[in-house]
Amino acid sequence: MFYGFDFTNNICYIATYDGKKVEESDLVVCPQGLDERVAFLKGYVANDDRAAVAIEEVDESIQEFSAKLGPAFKVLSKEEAFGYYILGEDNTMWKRQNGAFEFHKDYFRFYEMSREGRILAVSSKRCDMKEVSLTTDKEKDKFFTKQSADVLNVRQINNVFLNGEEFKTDWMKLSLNALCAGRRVFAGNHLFATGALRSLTSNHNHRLELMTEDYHPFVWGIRTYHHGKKDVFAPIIQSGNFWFLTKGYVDVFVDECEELIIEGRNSLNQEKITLKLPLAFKSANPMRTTKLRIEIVCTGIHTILIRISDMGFGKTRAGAGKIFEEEYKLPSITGR
Amino acid sequence: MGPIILCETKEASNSYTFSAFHQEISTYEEMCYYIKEYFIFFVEEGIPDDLLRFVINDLGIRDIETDWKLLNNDKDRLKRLFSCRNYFLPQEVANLMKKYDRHMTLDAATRKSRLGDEYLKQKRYETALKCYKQTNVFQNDARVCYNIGVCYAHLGDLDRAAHYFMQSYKIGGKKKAQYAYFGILMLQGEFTAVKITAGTDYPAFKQEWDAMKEAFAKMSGNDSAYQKKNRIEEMKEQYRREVDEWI
Repeated sequence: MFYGFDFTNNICYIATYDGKKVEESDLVVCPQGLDERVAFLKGYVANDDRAAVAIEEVDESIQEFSAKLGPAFKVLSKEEAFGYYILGEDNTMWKRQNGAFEFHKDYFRFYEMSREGRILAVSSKRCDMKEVSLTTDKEKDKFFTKQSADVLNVRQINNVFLNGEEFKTDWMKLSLNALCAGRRVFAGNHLFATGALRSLTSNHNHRLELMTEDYHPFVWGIRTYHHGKKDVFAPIIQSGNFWFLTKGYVDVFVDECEELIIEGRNSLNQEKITLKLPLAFKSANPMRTTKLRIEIVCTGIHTILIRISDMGFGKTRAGAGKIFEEEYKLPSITGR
Repeated sequence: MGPIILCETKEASNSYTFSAFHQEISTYEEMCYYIKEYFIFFVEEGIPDDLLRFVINDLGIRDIETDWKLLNNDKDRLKRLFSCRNYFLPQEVANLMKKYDRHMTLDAATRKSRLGDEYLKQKRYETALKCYKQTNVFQNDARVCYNIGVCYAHLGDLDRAAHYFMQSYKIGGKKKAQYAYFGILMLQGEFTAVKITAGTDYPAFKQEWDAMKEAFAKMSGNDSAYQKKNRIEEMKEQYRREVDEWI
């Protein structure tokens, strides 16, 4: 048996697959804490079963969560679950632009999928609901009309999915008219649970790769001399890892420089970015006796920190420490 | 912008010390830098076995081990060592190999005297002296005689130092050798002898000698006995450095 779980705050949607057909369960109320979720999942899934769990936000705690769940469980973001859902559909779906709205109590989020060659990129934007009061149906309709207009009026989206128990009621009057104009609209509550399930069971052959903003899409590096060859690209960090786990460094010797150039290449669309670091460096020490460490750390989905430190020269001279540090903002994987 | 060289090797947990010039290293890049700086040592004496072991075991450059056995001359071995990881550009390696070839075209005596110069720079006076004595031409070479004098002066044999400074002066006729000779005599308390021997050169020498004394007095003016002792040692060291600079 295969399970797909979709957690949002204190509710959970579950999809199951017994090898013949997918079944969707009713909404289950479950606790929010990491340990409580682990206990809930382990109590639900038998030893020989496999399960995929879609969670709200992917951060450092995903490693602990995965470790506690064990190898029978796969933990993924909702963006990934959405991506797998679309990948499991036919080409009328994945060849087009897709969007999804997720609406639970005090939780509203828009997901967008775009295709660049063989890459399906999924990004999401969560609405801050702290100052939003949605007590009446009219307020909800007005709120959703505005939110959908904000995203759909500036994007060509062919298929829209509505997911969450808040969409169940019949308050959608204004908003539904706008939403259905020129696009297909699907409603349900098990989009992410089914998507998570498909990450285990789907054997599509689209040769498409899924990329979400939880993964850093850029390869960063510097042009150096290497084994006697000039301008060899030395990677500092690679693409494809969770952004919060993405960091790396190279050590180089720079005789002198006016500015240091760091190159980045987006592995999704091959877009190149050049960062020119205003590092006027001329060491007071003899030439080629100052080792510089160029370190790149992802500090957010769209930000990287570049730090350059004087590492000294082995036993001859101790390093002077940090000499340059700056944070850079990067474009979104869907280009927005 | 200068070249950016990618650093491939990690720092070794154990360090290595070049016995020839008492330098401790822990990285491949340091090794390359010091071999270049003290190139004559390595051209004359080859790559020490313990340095090779350090490269293989501590720096983890194991690929050099098999090549090393196949290379049967020191030049190729040096070239292999320079090229096995990143530090020198290809042109820089070529230049060093040219320097190697130029050095090897010199006659044995000149090469020994060059090696002696390197040891002298490292203040390894006895080893330097041994190299100079092996040249067999030192009696006719003002520079070598002067350097032998410097070695003896540092080793405390002032009579021999004075002899070689004088010999250097006789061969080459250079003032620095003569002043070094006078300096030794002054240290031995032979003030009158210096005055008579120096003749018309005495005022110029005296001026330098006084300047040195004045600097010494200024440095040690209000110091305690302990500080004065230290100052004297520093002064002696300074004098030795100045003598060295005349090389």
